[in-house]
Amino acid sequence: MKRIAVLGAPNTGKSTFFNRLTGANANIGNWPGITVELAMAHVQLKNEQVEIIDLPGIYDLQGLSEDEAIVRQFLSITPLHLVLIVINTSQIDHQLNLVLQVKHLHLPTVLLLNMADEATTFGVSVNSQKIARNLGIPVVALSAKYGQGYALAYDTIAHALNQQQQPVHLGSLEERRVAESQITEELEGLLQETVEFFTHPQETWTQRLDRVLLHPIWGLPILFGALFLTFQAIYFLAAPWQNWIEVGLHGLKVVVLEPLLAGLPPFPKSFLLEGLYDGVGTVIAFDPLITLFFFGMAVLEDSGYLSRAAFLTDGLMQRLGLDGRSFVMSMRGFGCNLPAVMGIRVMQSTNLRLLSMLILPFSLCPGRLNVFIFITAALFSTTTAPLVLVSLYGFSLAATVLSAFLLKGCFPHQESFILELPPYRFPTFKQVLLRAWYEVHHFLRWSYRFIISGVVLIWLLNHLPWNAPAMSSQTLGGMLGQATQPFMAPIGIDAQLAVTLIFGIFAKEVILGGLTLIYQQMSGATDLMGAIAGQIDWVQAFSFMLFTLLYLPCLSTLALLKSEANSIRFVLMAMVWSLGLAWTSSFIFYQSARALGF
Amino acid sequence: MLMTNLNSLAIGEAAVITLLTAEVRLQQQLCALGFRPGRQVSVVRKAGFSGPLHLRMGVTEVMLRRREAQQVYVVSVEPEHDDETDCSVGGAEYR
Repeated sequence: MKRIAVLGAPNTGKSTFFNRLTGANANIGNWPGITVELAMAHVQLKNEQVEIIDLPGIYDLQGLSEDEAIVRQFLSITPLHLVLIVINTSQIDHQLNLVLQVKHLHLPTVLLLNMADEATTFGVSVNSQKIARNLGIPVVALSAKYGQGYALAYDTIAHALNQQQQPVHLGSLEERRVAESQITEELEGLLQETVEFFTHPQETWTQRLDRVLLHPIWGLPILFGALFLTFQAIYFLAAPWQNWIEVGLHGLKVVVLEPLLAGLPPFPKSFLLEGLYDGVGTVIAFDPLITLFFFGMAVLEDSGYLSRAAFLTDGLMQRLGLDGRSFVMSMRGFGCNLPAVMGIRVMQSTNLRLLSMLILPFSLCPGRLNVFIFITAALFSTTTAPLVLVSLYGFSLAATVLSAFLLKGCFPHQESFILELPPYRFPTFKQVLLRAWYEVHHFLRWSYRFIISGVVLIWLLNHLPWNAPAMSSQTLGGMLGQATQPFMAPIGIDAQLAVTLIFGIFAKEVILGGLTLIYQQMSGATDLMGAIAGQIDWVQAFSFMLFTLLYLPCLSTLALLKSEANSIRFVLMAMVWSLGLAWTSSFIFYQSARALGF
Repeated sequence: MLMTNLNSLAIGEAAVITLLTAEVRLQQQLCALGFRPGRQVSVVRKAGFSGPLHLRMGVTEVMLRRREAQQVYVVSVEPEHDDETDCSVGGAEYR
């Protein structure tokens, strides 16, 4: 099978092109000899089967970043039939650099001048035929997003591939490396001959929009307002779906599963229905929320606003030993801590990565939010409940800022931070959907293992040993809860609540499942909220929520921290820090509230 | 012509890059985004809280922290900033 690699800088629409070419059938997978996962797809191109690989976006083949090293490694070990270079036409003046570097490798190449439509509006006029003649490779101008020029690009690629029967295997890139000065000289000559820049007297709409959105005073309030509205919209849109799923799953259980399993003995029947089915069901109900969140983030990211968020917050974040990217990642953490932690790979300094990893898990994710919504609804009036939720967001932010501020001294670094601010673009529905789908897919694959083990374990702990009454203090779970009391009683968390926290390490959603299981059985009541309100008061409840917010990231996040930091010691340190912070906060709150007579 | 660093330019001011003194990694990052001697760059705005600079080179817009901007030397193209002080950094040529 022939093989094609897609190469190009970030923000050039390289992945958009890749998705169009492969019909979005890519898999993320390991490549022999490469340490990160690459997107690849097998497609039929005209009459040939080809394997297409999307390489990480890079600006410079000779650069020192991790991505650049990966691309070099890939090019040197992989026999290729064709390289496609995608560049952003408006930035041709510096992106031709990469093209010239690849040219000197003597790989069969096709150059794609993407976003050709945008370049015209920015006053950049490129003579692609002259470039083709000058470089001796086929050149096509196109818009990968909207499809103009795509058919020609497709035919050109198929033709070039057809010409290339044998793959080219580079072996070492070092031998073919050309001095930077020669590349610069060639670049200047090429630009002079083939590109014209027209100065634009009037402002582009990106410039006009930036004047408002990046305003020195209003920029930050607008950012926080926009994020708040986005989150609100996501929760508003997800709520009915969550409800439908709960109703649907319950219906399925009553109508189909219960009659089907009626013949089983009570123990395995209860295990399958109350343990596995209900437990996983509780969690599935949150999937629309998480999916919508990824969707919303993809819209923000593709529009170009997230880069602006990094610009606006960088000054503040710098004081905390972090940078604008850490802010963007923390924001993603409010959707789910997992992709946030994955996102910090772009940082080069190990210390900056570690510090970011320590603070990201304090972002209040939907898993925790659902526990909080449930408890506040049970214990607070409808007027105070929203205020309690807002205060928990405040504590989440405070824990993030405080931890970064106190720990930044332990993680000194000199990371420089340069970021392109791309023009604002309308995200296309298809692109956003694809991007969100990749993240959702990744999230589900990663988290369900832990969630399923979590719910199974809760059930087992509450039903073993066989002869103890289920959910009683004689079960393993009950004994475990009792054992925590010397630590947990001073912060107002009783044995039952402590047990749910232990389960909550698997996934915060599991806490909700645990509360349901325990309080339902304990009171024998069907009114779960009433049952909880009868057992604990609001001071205990708030202390419990505070502890839940901070105590430990879920097991999926811990596993990811371990693999990203590649150090079990770091993970232990992160656990000790967050547990300490959680206990101290809850202790101060609970004891002062009690001392004040509440 | 007075040579100064990018960080000392005022908002709205344009200048031509003469010299990059950053360490290799940063220098490559800068080059990759188009920072090269001879190119004209202008300061669009500066972020609050001593945040980064918003720069424009041709149609490319970039944010750069002030510390890094100090490592990019430029000569201003605005005549009113051309005072007669002799510049000892010298040596870099300006076309």
